Amino acid sequence: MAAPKVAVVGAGVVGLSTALCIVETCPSCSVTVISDQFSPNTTSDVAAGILIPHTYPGTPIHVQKQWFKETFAYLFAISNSAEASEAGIHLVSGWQVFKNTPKEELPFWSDAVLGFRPMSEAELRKFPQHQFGQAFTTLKCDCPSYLLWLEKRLKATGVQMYTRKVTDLWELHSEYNIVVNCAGIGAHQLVGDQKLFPVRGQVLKVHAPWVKNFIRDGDGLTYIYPGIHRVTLGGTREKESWSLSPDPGTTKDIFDRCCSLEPSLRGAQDIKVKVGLRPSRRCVRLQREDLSQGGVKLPVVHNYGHGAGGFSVHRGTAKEAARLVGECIAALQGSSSRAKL
Amino acid sequence: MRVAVIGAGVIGLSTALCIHEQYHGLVPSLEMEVYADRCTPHTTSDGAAGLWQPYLSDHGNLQETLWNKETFDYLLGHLGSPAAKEMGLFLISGYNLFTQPVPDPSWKNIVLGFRNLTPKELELFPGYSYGWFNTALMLECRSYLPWLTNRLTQRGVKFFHKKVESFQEMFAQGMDVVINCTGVRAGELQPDPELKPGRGQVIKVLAPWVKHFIITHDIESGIYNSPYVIPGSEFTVLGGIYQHGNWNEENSAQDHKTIWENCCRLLPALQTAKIVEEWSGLRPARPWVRLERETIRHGHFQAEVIHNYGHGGFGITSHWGCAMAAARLFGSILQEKKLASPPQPRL
Repeated sequence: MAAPKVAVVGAGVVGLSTALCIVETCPSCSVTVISDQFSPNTTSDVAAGILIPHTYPGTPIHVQKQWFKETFAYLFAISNSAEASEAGIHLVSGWQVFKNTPKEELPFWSDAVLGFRPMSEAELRKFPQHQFGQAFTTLKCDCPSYLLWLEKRLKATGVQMYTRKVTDLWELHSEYNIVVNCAGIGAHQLVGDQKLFPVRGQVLKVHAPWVKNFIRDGDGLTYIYPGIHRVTLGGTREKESWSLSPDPGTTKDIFDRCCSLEPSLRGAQDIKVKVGLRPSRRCVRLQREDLSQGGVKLPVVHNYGHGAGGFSVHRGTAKEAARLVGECIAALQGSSSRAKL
Repeated sequence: MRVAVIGAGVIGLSTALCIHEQYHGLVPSLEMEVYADRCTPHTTSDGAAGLWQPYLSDHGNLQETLWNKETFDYLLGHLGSPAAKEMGLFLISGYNLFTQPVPDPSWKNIVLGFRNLTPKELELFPGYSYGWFNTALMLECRSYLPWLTNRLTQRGVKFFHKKVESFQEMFAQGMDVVINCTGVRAGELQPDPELKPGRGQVIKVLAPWVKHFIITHDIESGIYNSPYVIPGSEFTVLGGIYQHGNWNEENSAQDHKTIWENCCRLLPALQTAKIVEEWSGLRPARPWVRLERETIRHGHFQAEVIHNYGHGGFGITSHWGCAMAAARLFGSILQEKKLASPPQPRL
């Protein structure tokens, strides 16, 4: 089949990076990105974009590790290039501190980040309420720069982007041969996935340019991630909350928790409050599904449900999704040549 | 008891504050004045990036290592305080890069989390095969010097914006002790063949994605003659110039080219950074810091001078330890004059 037409639904970090991987692996494909939201209004834009993986209980660890390593390597190369500032990718060092020593002292990703080691006594003294900690260097994807950079690269290869709310994947069958579902939290309604649930996160984005290191409490609830222009302070993990409105009580609570980790934040200026709904699932839904209605088939590749770990594994899952698109194309070509006989 | 501090860079102001804090309560008659022809933001200290880091080798000068440690610990103690932001004080991590293995520095246990670089980290820096990672401190003088000035003014210390031509000028005004913190131009008050300018030039850019300091070293070309990148709270400082004996405070186009090309090779993304300012300054270089008392006689007058100058490229790094040492010298002067007792009439 000449120039398979692929529609990617969703324009967050997963949608855009998946579209880019498809373009890279299948140059003859015509790829279109369709989404009701684009940067700066996606869930990705709220996220800090730090590369510290979230563990999916339902995905084998070696798979998660592979996804993370691929993502890290990809971004590492960008951070080291002249495009780093445009793409919004930069290295950042810091500490993960624990009030109680964790059962697992070495997370699965400890050898994938840089310079991972336990914190020294002197370093821990800065965190009197915490008993144990790890120091390492990782990468951060600053949004919206990263999404805009992905959009720019896509447009340069001829990818079209449309703002449109898709209410049913089947809507796309007449114009496209293959649909890739990167709708994030939107998949709850779009494909009726009851296993997908929001985990509400409220964050503060503040001006505190003297903060050069990240600090994260191992419980995942309190974190300070310095970005290019702003520092992201977080956060919350409210399961099943669909509210996108900032809560003032939560704002004060986040600010206080972060200031107790980093007192100089009391001098932070221009506090902006944002809310995002992490598209959470026991495992990332990364699989093919062939939809059919009245004898007509529509191959779909799902790539959603990255929860708190979207940035950390986006490139790895995008590559796998592109591989699955390749399988769909091969299957379509197989059946079309059979039809010719 | 009248004390004149000459010099309002990091050394002058911190020495003034240290002495005033320690002795004003003990010597109620203590009157302190600061004289300087250049004040912030026009001092040598203001041009420095502000990174706490001594030279690689202390050349066996344990005294300087102790001053550096005292300074680091003092600043670390202030990190959590509300004053930190106003002081321009914050933590920063980063890299020291070498083309061959080197011994660990004297300050490895002073900084936080000192370790060697891993092979993967070295991939970031082609051309460098060995290095260190550690967390240190930044103390930005364009914030710190005004902070020190405010603390001193609150304590009633007076400031005079004028050039002091001689120690005699101060004694003639009735000063009992002169604290000489005149940095690179100390030779104008008293010839010092050991003191030479270590000219540096820096380019300040907007590169807020840079979160680490990167200091390269080339054993051949010597300290600070190899590119470095130091991110501040607002600007990132690019440097790598050290010219011994060069008094020229004008920016050099050749040095600009050297700094720019070398730093962009080190961090390609800097090519897109916007240049905001360029500055040249003279590090007050000396084989060792001159930190000692001198009794100067002039006719009827006998007065004490405490010298505290010659900190080269590690003034910020050593300032508080040196200020404390100068304060101890001041204390010994007080003891000799028996000034813990009520003031005696002058003869």
